Amino acid sequence: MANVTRRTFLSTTVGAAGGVAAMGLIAGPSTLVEAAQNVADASDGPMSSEPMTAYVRDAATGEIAVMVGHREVVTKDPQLIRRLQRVTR
Amino acid sequence: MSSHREAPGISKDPVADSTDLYAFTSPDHPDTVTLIANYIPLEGPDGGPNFYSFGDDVLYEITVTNGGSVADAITYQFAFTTEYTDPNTFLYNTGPISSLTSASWNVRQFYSVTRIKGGKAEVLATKLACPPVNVGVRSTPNYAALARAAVHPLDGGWVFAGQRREGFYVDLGSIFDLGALRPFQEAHLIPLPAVGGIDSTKHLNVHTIAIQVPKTSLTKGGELPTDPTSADSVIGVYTTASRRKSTVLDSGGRTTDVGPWVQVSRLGMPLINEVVIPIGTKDFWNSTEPKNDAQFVANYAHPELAGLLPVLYPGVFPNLAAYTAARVDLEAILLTGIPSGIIPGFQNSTGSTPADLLRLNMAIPPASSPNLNGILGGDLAGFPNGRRVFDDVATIEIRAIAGVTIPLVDPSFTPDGAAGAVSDFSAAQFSSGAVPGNGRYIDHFPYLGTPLNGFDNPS
Repeated sequence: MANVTRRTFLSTTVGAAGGVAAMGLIAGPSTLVEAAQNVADASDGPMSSEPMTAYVRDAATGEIAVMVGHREVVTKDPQLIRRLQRVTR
Repeated sequence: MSSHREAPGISKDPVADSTDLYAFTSPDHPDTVTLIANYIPLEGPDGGPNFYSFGDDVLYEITVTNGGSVADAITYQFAFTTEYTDPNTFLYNTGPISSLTSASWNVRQFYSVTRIKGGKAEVLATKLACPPVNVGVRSTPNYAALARAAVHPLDGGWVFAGQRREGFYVDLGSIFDLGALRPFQEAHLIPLPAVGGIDSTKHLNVHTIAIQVPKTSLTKGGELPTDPTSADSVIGVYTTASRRKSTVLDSGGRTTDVGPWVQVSRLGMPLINEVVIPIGTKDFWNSTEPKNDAQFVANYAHPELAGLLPVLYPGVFPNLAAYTAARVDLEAILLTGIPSGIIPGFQNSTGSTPADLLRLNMAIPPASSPNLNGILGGDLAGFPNGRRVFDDVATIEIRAIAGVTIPLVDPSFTPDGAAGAVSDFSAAQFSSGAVPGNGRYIDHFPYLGTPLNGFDNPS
């Protein structure tokens, strides 16, 4: 597997702009490169059935953190945040 | 406490709360080092029906630095899973538990061990059995045998994870009642007659993760350390616990944990986050890495407790009260290790980078007659050269903060007479063996004694 340190193991945050490689997990480490500008559309390929959580880290900058498995993907989607804000009014 | 409930956040999360960390040359296998990380503070032996266990949703780690550096070199990870033999009973066990495969044992915990070293993660073992907790005389009539069966071979050494007896001793009720030490409280600002200390943890258990590994697997080059002056003989150790970044508490009692691991607890030297780091910073400290501890140096250079002692004990610490220089002695002992030239024949330096690590010079052989006060008592094999299960770390650190170690770096300073005498317990309590007490330790791995059973304790 790729070079693993304790800290990279713990923090597998993936930047939206840079596409930083995520590091391994306890069993069956996965190495993925996220090239996301936004969350992928369903038409891009098969969807994972894994639980996924997302939270708006900073509405002002449009920053959303999406967590799935042992990874965290940070993306920017101001339009999605505005839609979420509308449905929670 | 050493690190029991030491920060606001982690005090609400006991299974992830590291309480004590030990690192020492194994006295019965001196070519090995034993590393012990304890979790779950103030664990009552009678904690049924849902007795204490490790967190299935917590990642526990013991990390080692080597080669005179504070950089992570080796990390051992421990991940637990719980299984029910019969989910339709409320009982922990439905009859006596006679073995680790006993059908009457309902709530079982297993764990895996992964090692990260040299940029590679390697699963060393899976589904290792923890022992049950020591329920009582009917349920676990031969507990020592159950615990022995849960000592597993691992990578040239041994591993154990499960309940043991609490090894740390302290007068908790007194020390946090305005810094009182009962044997000396007649001199306190609010005086009371002097009495012996109360061993607050005497009747408690803890959950222990212990590994015994060949020294050659911890040194940078794989050599057996024999030269106390060599940087390659020194390791630094710390333990951490981490939780997943996102937890969703769903309807129907379902919980979903996703996202990367986030560190919520760490521990190297005893009592640091407890009494050196201020309350507003403790949770942050728990989230940070030792190699970034330069940001906390001011708390060591002018520790709050050193300023409080002359106030709480008027006239007892005049020399300490007058000492305004930065406590370079504490910075060395607690943050960088003791360099060569300070104590004859000894060093445990990891360089100039401040880091909260428990440092062990592995070339120092085990003591034939250990002194509870470790290096302060002339025993180079004891704290702060690593930490043995019986070392009186509370006394050692109180005396150091009171000024007894200042002459190591500033020979012009004369410690106050009280600095070398203060302790949670009276000399008579130590000399009689009342403290640390019988049964608290054993002479072989995992060295912490058989946990107290829930039937007889509290008695």
